[in-house]
Amino acid sequence: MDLGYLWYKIYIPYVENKLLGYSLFLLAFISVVLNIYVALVRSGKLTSIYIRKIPALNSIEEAVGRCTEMGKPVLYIPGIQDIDNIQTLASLSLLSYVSQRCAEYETDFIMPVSRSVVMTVAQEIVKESYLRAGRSDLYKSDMVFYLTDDQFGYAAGVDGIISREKPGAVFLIGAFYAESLILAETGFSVGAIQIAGTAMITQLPFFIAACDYVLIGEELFAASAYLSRDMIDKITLRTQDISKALVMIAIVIGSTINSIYILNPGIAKIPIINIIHKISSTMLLR
Amino acid sequence: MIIIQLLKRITRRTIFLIVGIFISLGIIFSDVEWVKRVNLEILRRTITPASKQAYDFIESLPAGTTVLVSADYGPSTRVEADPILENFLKQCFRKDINVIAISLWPDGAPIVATKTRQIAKMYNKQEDVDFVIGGYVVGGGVAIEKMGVDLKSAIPLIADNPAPFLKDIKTANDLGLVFAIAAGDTLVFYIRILKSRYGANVSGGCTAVMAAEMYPYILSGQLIGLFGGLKGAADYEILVSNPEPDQVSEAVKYMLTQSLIHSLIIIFIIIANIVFLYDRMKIKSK
Amino acid sequence: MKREIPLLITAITGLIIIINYFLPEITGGVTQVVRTWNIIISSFAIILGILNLVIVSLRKTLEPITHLDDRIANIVLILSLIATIIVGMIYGVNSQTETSLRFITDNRYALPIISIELSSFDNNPFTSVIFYSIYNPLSAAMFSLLAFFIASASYRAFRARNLEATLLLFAASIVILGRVPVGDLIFGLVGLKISPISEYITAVINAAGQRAIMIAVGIGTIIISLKLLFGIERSHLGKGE
Repeated sequence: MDLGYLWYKIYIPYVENKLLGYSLFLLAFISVVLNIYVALVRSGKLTSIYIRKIPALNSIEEAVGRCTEMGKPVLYIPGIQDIDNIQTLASLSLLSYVSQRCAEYETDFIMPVSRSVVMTVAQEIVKESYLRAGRSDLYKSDMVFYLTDDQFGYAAGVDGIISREKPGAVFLIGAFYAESLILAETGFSVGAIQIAGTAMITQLPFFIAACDYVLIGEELFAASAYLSRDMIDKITLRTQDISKALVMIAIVIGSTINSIYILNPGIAKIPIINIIHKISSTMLLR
Repeated sequence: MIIIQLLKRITRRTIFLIVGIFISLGIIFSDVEWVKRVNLEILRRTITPASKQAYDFIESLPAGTTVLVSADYGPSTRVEADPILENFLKQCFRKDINVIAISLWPDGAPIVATKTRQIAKMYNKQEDVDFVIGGYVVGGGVAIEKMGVDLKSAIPLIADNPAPFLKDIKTANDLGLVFAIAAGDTLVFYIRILKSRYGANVSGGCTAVMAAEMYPYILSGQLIGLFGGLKGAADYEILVSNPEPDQVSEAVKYMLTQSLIHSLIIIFIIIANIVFLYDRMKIKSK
Repeated sequence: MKREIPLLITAITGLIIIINYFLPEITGGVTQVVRTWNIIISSFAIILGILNLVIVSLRKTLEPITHLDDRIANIVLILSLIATIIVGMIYGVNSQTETSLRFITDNRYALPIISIELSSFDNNPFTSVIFYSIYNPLSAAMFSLLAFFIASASYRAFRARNLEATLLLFAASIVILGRVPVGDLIFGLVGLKISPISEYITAVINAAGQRAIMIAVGIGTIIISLKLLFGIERSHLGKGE
């Protein structure tokens, strides 16, 4: 293929959509920072980092323990989205921790699922967790089962399970829509400890109103790293903070310069500032 | 003191009963002449800016433009979403805009097909000439991604359709507007994929629960206005047909039920706070 | 090997999609194939789900330890599943609206009056009975539970415990009233308009908070995706601690 033509094919999307370049920059930045930290950990130069306490995650043990005392099962809902949703994946990472605790405490575990692919993956995770806890004798293949893909059909099914089985702890972790409050209020009505976690912004208020502990937004993604004892897992939290700092700085500088430009267009003639202004103004959509 | 003691006795069941009674009253009295008139009068004066923005944009599209309407909701949210779809179709057919009607939800397909044919009949529009029905489009976010590259391969049912207006439509970018009525995450997907990556115009409606989540997109210009919930639907009806009190449809009528329930919730909040503050004062005085 | 192969598949397909995002003109073809696979796999996965549902429900129904109410629920589930599949297979999922002319004879008067009525009805029992008469109202009923639960949740949640909770309480009350005509009706009596204030809270204060969470979630998503691609995150494959 002609090299010039190839270059044209690579270049043209970036001219048509200027935001693509910024996305690439952010992705590259995060990848580089992550890899630097992983290298630091592997070479032994970094052995511990400070992580702020997340009460919802510290309470998992307490919730499972309470179920054991009361002889009630633990109910785990991984949201209603498929495996391609990152929140479902984050939820499944947490699942291995929760189900292992259930195995250790010999507590019943129920997990109705609304997507069949999620079901297959979750069955595997729960089985592994029971194996790891040395209690594979307690594992039953119908601990994780499929209900329906339909949003409210699923909500109705789970509500039925909650009111029949009366679980001692309900985990609502993953992507939820309008069914969030229906599930959480039913859980509340049977007196279960409820630990919720979602990045769906509009469902957060519902969970905060009806649940005991809530993982808000990014805390959900940080959960598996927080609970892990592996330093490489934990280091991703530091990467997340540095990336956030970069975005914060960009927002402050960009909005300050754009605001000053509106008041005094002369600012665009000052060197360096003119470059920043050019970058930040292309980010504004018209 | 007796009143406080009585108020303390309000349980979930009492609340459910009162809410049930108020909803029934709202529905029963929504047909009363003066209620409709007052509703309409206030709604006319308080049209949400986001609704007006979306309406104005559709109004500015020239006749002969093609738009895609994606009704991604099931029967559960029909009360909120149906009026938005109806008014959108009315506005399009009135302005001789061609419509491609699809649904990314399997249970939305029969709804969108029936509604489109119904409204088209009112405006003497012919199927496969002025509008086409794409039915259920499988794949969710992946299908939207495909629309950005090749619209007809993403919507198999219209691939061989003889409708003359489809001849010039290759990708979603050739459409005047992509209008999604969402009860789930599809509107966000349309914005993130079709608007941000491919530059198509995206507007839409959503359930009231989700409306707050959409505001950042409206402010950034990625979403052209929004019809949020029943209020948005009522706004739309007034903008499209400016009805007389005896011509109003469910969207405007049921604002009475919403008014009643919202006021009821405020009353409950006040009661809860009276009891709460009374208890606190009592503890302090001890 | 059991771990390495899934990780490798994740890494390769993930990289294909990412590269396609940044070089769309070059890698379009490969990505289309991956996307089509995705659609096909997710369509077939439903069979897996239904099989699991039937097996688990049958087992629960037949097990002697199952409670009676649980057993009834499972029987209802299996029966309605079978009924829906059979009716759907026989009649298809498209509504078959038939328009017909009917002659109506009115015998109330001395001479019978014959009128012609145009009526249309849906001939397909799948759409008319299962979809519109059963599924439709049941779904709507579940969604409408939200109204009841919102009332009881706000009764518990909105209390003036401290300064933040009080601010939340007032903001929520303004938005609740501002979204409906009655809010403007009540505040109109004292010459105030509440809907613009409600709109301001939603469009400015709420949007600012939403953006903060959205950006943080976005970065969290990128990092989790990178962890998956680099094989750091393995707990979804059942990795030990």
